Amino acid sequence: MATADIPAGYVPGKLGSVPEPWIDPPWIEGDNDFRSVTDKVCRIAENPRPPVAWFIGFVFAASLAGMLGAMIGYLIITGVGVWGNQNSVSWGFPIVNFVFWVGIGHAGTLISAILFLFRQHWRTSINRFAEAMTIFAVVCAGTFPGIHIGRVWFAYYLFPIPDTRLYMWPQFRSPLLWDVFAVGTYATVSLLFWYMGMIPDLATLRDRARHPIRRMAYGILSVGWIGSATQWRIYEKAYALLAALATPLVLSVHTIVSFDFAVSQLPGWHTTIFPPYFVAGAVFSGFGMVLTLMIPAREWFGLKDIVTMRHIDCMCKIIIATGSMVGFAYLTEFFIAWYGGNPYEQFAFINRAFGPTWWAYWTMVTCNVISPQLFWFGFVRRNPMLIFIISIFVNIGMWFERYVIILSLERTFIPGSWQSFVPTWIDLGMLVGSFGLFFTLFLLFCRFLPIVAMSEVKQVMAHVDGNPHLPGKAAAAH
Amino acid sequence: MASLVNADITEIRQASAGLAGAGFLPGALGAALLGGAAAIGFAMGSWEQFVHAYLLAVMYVTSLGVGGLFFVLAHHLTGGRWGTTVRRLAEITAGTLAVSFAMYLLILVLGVLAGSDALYPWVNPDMFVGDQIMESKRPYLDPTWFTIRSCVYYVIWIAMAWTMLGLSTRQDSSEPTKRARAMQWYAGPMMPIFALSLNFASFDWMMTLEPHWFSTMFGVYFFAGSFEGFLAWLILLCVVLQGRGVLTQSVTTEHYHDLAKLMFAFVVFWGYIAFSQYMLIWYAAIPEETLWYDIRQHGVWPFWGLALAAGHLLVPFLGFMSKAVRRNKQLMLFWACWMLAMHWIDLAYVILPQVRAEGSVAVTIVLGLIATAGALGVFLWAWMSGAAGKWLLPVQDPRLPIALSYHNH
Repeated sequence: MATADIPAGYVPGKLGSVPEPWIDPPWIEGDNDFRSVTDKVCRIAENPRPPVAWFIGFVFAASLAGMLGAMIGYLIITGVGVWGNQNSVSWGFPIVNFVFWVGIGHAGTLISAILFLFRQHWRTSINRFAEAMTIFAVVCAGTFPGIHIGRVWFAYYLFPIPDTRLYMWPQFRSPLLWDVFAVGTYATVSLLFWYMGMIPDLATLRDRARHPIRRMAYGILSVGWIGSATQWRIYEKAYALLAALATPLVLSVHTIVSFDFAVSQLPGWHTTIFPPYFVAGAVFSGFGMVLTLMIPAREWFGLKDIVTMRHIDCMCKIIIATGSMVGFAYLTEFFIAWYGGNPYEQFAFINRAFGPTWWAYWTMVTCNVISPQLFWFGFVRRNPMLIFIISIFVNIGMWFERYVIILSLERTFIPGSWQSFVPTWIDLGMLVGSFGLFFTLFLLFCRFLPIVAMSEVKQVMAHVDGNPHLPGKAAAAH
Repeated sequence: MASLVNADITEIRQASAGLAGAGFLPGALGAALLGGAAAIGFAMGSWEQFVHAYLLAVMYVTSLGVGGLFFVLAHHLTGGRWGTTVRRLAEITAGTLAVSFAMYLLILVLGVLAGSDALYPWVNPDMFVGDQIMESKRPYLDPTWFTIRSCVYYVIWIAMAWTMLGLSTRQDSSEPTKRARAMQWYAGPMMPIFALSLNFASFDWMMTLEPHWFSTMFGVYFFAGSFEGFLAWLILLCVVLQGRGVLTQSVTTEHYHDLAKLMFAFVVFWGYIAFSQYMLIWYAAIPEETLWYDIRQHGVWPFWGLALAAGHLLVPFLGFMSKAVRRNKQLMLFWACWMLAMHWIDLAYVILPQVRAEGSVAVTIVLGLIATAGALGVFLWAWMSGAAGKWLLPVQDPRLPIALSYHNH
């Protein structure tokens, strides 16, 4: 590889200065060496006083999370009638929020597993961040089915506990039960992956810590990591194994979630393309959220050299790919609904697009299919403000996608049972509250843990042998 | 590995112009086999079996071309590097779509425009009478409209394949960087067009064999199998060519390893798609949907279904899961042949059970085998004459040095 990788005329930080798009620039820009990367990342967690914006954000997010907690309490005391769910639309916001949050998590798993296996070096700067998002998104997701079962104190019924006194076993033919296993496995593997990947960086924080409590806390978390060759060998092997194990999880979790709808006979829900379509949508929404968080975070935490515009550019491209797949699925669904000749199916789709809730359908199409197409243009992919706005559109669109699916319940086979869905203020409050929970966890992560995988970033730096920005390497590059 | 770039080139990198002539033999043999299959079908009164067998044969070679086209587009779109060494082979494979189109035209003539409903039941207008579901599909399942659509799909693909092949061969002699950029630029708009056309082509050509049946997943299913089949063909091609001294240095173990990994991924992806389609239809048990699988649960077809589950998914999943196998050229040659056979069984499972005429299933299968062998002969001729006189490696591509010195780590 050597010097061929550094194009002539390349100016760090300037995207258009790379003469050929197929030549890798150094993924880390600016005058950075191993030490400065460590300093920049650790400083975020070590700074005794985080930026004021962090405090404001934390107080705001934690209040919303507290509101969610209070609303859950109110729900448990009062009953699920506090939601807008009714006889027709028996699954309202709780399932929409559940699917939305599970989907958000998928970017982390894709980045840590599939992009690792595909040797995409750009993943190293964003994987820790996205993996953390996965965990927090799963926490938010798991909350909703948990409280949706009505009598939450019987939640353990979901597990196949061999108990003769219970006289009851879970319905193994129900995809809702498969969800318990799918999401449970997903949460476990993601947590393991995230934590294991963090051990070398936690050890770095431990070694740099001055306060004894900090040193002890990071010491316990870094489980005796000393960075010996043996430890690294085992670590690398475990990492590759977990990546291979997590790869099917990228597909399986949202596949099972899509089965929740697709195994039914309901028009608009039962369609065979649902599994890959849901997976593509999940990755799409996940990358939307990564961009939403990453663009401000790199600004506030001074990470612009580590998470460069080129990383953002790669994420935008994934958004075009997955957004287009989702658009492909919408089109196929619509066509087959017509082609299949089933009048109920046809009605469900016409009703989605032109019925009373047409605005939800077209919000979904505009945000998910049309807005990501702007990323075909290079100037859009180079403008952080525009990317941020489009990423918000992606988040909105993907929430609406699930909402549109749920709204199919408003008008099913018998017109006599048609009923419009109106969310209550508890519904809306819990949606907002779940964002509060997510951001609270996220801000805590930013405050106390290494938000960039320093050890992995350094591997990418060392990998580019001719990197002129590494000390002692400047001569080799020219 | 980097030394390879500067090593003396002892491999053959350019196909001789006489290759087109050499391809005449398999081509003529293939045409003879196709003619023979038609004669057998006609003589035995198994015309319906023959047209299904012929569709299978054409779909098989078309799927390899379509897979090649996808490989080329995905390579450019993702800024691929290691694929540069095999890119030309994929481009030539995509170029064979023109010959597949020529073979397909016979289906349009015999199966659609001649008014015979031996292949597509909806060609017979009686099918629509008194059938509410069919009545609503009448505008779509119209022979003229179907013919236009089929031609449009092929024309789109051939235009894309030839554009890429043309840019790529011109890159060998002049302005390599400009052409590389152009190919990358074209790959963008081509990809969505490719996806949509392939989706509707598979609906039209194979889903409408059972006019009541529908599955939104069907296009993805055909795509997954096609790309997996193409990768197997590419591995086979590399091994055969290297046996003749072609690209012996350029295509390294590393490239086999990556091709094998990609094929492994698509074995799993195919299994995922096939299972999801089956599971959802089985679970919901809606008559218009289950009828397709119902046909495949009678006679010999259940065994084919099981053979697919085992041979197209479980056995290869375990078979080339190991890195040692994926880096072993001879073993990958075996798995490539295996997957090509499985891809045929897969398409046969989609097409052949739709034969409605009474008669021995064995005849249908044998006709399918003869016709596919024939179409493969013609495909081989198309490939060889497409390759004749060309560089088999994009010798001037700026990515080539990276691809040649590339190694897995």
